[in-house]
Amino acid sequence: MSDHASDVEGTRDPDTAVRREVELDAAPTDVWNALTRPELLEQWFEAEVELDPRPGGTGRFIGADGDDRVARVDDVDEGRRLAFTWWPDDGGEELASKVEFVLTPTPGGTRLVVTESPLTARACAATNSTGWAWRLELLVLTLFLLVRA
Amino acid sequence: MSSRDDPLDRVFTALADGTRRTVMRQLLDGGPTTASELADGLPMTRQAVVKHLQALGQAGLVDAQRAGREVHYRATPKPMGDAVAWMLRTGAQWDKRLERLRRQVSQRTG
Repeated sequence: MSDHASDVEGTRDPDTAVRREVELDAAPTDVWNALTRPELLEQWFEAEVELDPRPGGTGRFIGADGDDRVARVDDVDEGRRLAFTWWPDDGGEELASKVEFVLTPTPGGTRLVVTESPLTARACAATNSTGWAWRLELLVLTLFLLVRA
Repeated sequence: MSSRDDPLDRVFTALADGTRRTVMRQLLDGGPTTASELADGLPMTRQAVVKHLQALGQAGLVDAQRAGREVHYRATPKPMGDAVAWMLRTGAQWDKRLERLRRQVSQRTG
């Protein structure tokens, strides 16, 4: 538990909806391979993955939970940065969000920063397949836990 | 596509204040009510409550409806629900993926 908490920390940047930073005990090359090779992506995404990791390349992530996403690679800086836009296959591109991976070498291995930002307000609304009651519970909880004065 | 217009930003700005979170919570728990009734249960004046309700209204979280001489305030938490749910769901997915990635690449380097 504490191990996990110290390795994966969440912070919020005003321009980014979700940001995660993780220190990895692995060389940047190994991390880069895990981010760009479909057979390695499949393991940690727990999804069927197709990805052409070149600018303009396309991708597909079919999760075991039925989540089916289409992706388009935006930017690639070999070994350092990968950015793609993805959206639900049945929802269309107006529901897209942007994912960015940034790798930095560290003495112990690699620091990986992941950000995901919704590109439209609809992207937020559309990802809620669960019902309204669940959301209400969630936001009452949020009032106490998530938002700090 | 300015992220300044992100519903998340508006929601979080409105809820950055502890008193506004209390007001929001009261409206969610107790249903539509007037500023006077809200002020009765809070250590502040009716005027102060109205200001907080207006700030919440600007974020789309509260709706005001006139009923005779009274104004009834109602929680309209959909923007908050959408934005927060997206953020929590997306964040939880990355937490799980990154934990698996950490194990995966650590194994590879021994």
